[in-house]
Amino acid sequence: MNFWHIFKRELRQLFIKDARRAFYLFGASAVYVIFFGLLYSPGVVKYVPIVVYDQDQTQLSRSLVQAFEDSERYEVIAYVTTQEEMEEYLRNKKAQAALAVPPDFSREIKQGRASQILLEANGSNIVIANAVMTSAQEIMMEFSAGIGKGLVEAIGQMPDQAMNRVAPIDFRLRVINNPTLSYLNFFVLGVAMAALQQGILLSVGGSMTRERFGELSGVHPVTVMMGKLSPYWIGGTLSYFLALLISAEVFDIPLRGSMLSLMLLGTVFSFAVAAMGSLMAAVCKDEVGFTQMSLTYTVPAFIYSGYAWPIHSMDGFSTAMSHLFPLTYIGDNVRDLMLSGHAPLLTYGIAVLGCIGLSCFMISVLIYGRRIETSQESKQAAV
Amino acid sequence: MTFWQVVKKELRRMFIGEPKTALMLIGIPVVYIVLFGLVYMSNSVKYMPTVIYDQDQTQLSRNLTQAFADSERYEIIAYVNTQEEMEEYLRENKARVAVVVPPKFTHDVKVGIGSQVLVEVNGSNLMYANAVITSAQEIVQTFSAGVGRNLVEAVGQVPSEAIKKAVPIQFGVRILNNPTFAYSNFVLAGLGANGLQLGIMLALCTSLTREYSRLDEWEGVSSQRMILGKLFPYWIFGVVAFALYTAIAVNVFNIPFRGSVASLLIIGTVFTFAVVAVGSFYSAIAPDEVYAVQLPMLYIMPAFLFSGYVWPHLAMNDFSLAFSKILPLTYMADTVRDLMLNGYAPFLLHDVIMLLILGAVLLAMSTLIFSKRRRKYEHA
Repeated sequence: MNFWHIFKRELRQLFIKDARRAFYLFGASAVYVIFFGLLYSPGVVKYVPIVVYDQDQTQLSRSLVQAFEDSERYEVIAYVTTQEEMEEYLRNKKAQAALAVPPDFSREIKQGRASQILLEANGSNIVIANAVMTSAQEIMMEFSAGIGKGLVEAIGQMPDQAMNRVAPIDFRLRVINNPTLSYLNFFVLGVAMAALQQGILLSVGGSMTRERFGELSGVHPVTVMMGKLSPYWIGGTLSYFLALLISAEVFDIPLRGSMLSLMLLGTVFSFAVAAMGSLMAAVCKDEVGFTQMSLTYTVPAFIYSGYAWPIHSMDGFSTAMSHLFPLTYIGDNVRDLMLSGHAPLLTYGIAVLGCIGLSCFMISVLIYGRRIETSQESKQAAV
Repeated sequence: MTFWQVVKKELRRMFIGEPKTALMLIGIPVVYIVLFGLVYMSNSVKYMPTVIYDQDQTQLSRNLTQAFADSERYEIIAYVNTQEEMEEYLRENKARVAVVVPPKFTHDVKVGIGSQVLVEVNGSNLMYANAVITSAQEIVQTFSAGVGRNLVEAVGQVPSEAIKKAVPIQFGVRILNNPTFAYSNFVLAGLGANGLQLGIMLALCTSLTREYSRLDEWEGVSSQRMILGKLFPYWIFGVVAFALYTAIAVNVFNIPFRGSVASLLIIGTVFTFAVVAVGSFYSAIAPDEVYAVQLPMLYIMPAFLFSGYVWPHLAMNDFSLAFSKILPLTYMADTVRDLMLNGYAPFLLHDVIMLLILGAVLLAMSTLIFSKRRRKYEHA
């Protein structure tokens, strides 16, 4: 048997004899992209339920509340008249935020004594709390500045001038690459890569743990491994493109990077994962054991990849761990390529993935070469 | 065989016959909580690499950049002299944040024209963007207010009066339950629960499937007793694993625990019951043991992300919302976090009931399917 025989034999197994493998290989990442694309399609958290505790009840306080009503970030669900009621809403999670306007709000401001607004937010879910933080401050500053202008004018000064003296430095924020802070752009690609990895692992694992090595006796182990892994390598790369295509075309995640860079990265990653899968399969008793192992591996690999929680903020041990997972070298790079068009660590990522792939491949060749020999010997012994 | 004999037989398999089973059941949640506790140990994103592009180079502008250097959120890695250099730092991810001070900054401030500071942040990883949003504005505003005070004094006004006129509304924010935005408080309880359900599923999923091929060992034992007896140990040890990883989260990783132990144990117990029931369902329908361990994949990953634990229900569309309703984790993760951080979970009772219903329905279904398939194999 030469390379092409083994290659064709493997293709038959992949698509016909055990079609489940093809489903994992091509389906996993596509299904995940669609699934999680739908989940995160709103992009940002809007309509956070907010309760208003307006102790002033004047035109001014109502126009402040109106500013919150007008923002799509908030949905005013109730107006309450006591502190207890407000806290009840927060406690029962009917509201995630509360806006408290103090009594005499309007009068204090008009008399030039200034007043204070309190915004309370439930911080147990940071995603919601961040949405509140980003928008509330903006609404408040604008409102306050508008009122301040009027007050200063009333005492016969030029408002802009007064403003420039009191708050002389303006703060401007520019968020690049993901200006709307969209969760979809931030998260989906990484989950898709984790699913791709899982798909490749499961299909390669099925192939290696079910192989009858006796049938391959006499073939050079490198040829065997090349022939067996190539279909998964190619299939994984195709599946990678499918996932990116769906992200870009269906869910409008920007695709700003060059196709060539994306292709190189995906190809090397598929190779590394396929080779790693064959090595993992070597230490497992059967396909059941392999599946258990690879499922246990998925979540830590994702979390340690630095895709969500940056490696920069990890301690020494975690940073060291993160370098071991192939996902670390693709997640950030794919996101950078898609969102900003340039991934500074691309070459490094590709080089490391190549090294992981090659070393796993070589060890696999040694292990499975040994297995082919043993099965050959036992066959001869039987004869 | 009595119920207890079935239990003993399963226990023997878990701990002696295939000790891997017990290891997965108890080990996965514990190892997960330790691994993830370590990852999130620093709790917030600090020392973000920052590049300064100060076009003014005066005492005032240096004071401002010093304010950024003094905050533990930022670490100034470079001072650059051109826009291109600054963009290069951002582009190459050497810096995640850039602070730009315009030319004539001091001059404009002093003559009363006002000036502005631009902060740029790379938003592709939201963790950085959120950290900047919560801290940069504060730094600049505090600085601005301090400078403003002196300016107003210089023109012979009383500063506090002038400030009250120009910025009449002060804005206080109070974040309840997790005031420092600590990430491990936010995420660890849920990741632990995710590990728990993975451990239970992987350990349990083959337990019914494998019996289809050795039904002769079970002659005279009803399917109900068989299933209940076989599942019972997984439930008990699932609860043990739950208690264990929660104890680690609280004692080793300092996650606050403000609720009552009884509420926590109740939700943990019914959740474990529901997950055991999901596992038994997969186990009953799987054609073989390989399928039995692969089917839970359909549940595990989506369960965490769709549970509303991170991405909230209020931002989900109808499809996602409907899907999340059938996942046991939806009724557990948020509630456990509320119990830990707030000390009170408003939906505790509702969640307990939902988990019991889910568990009971799935258990009934798996018993039905199992006994049907069992009869078929016995006839064959």
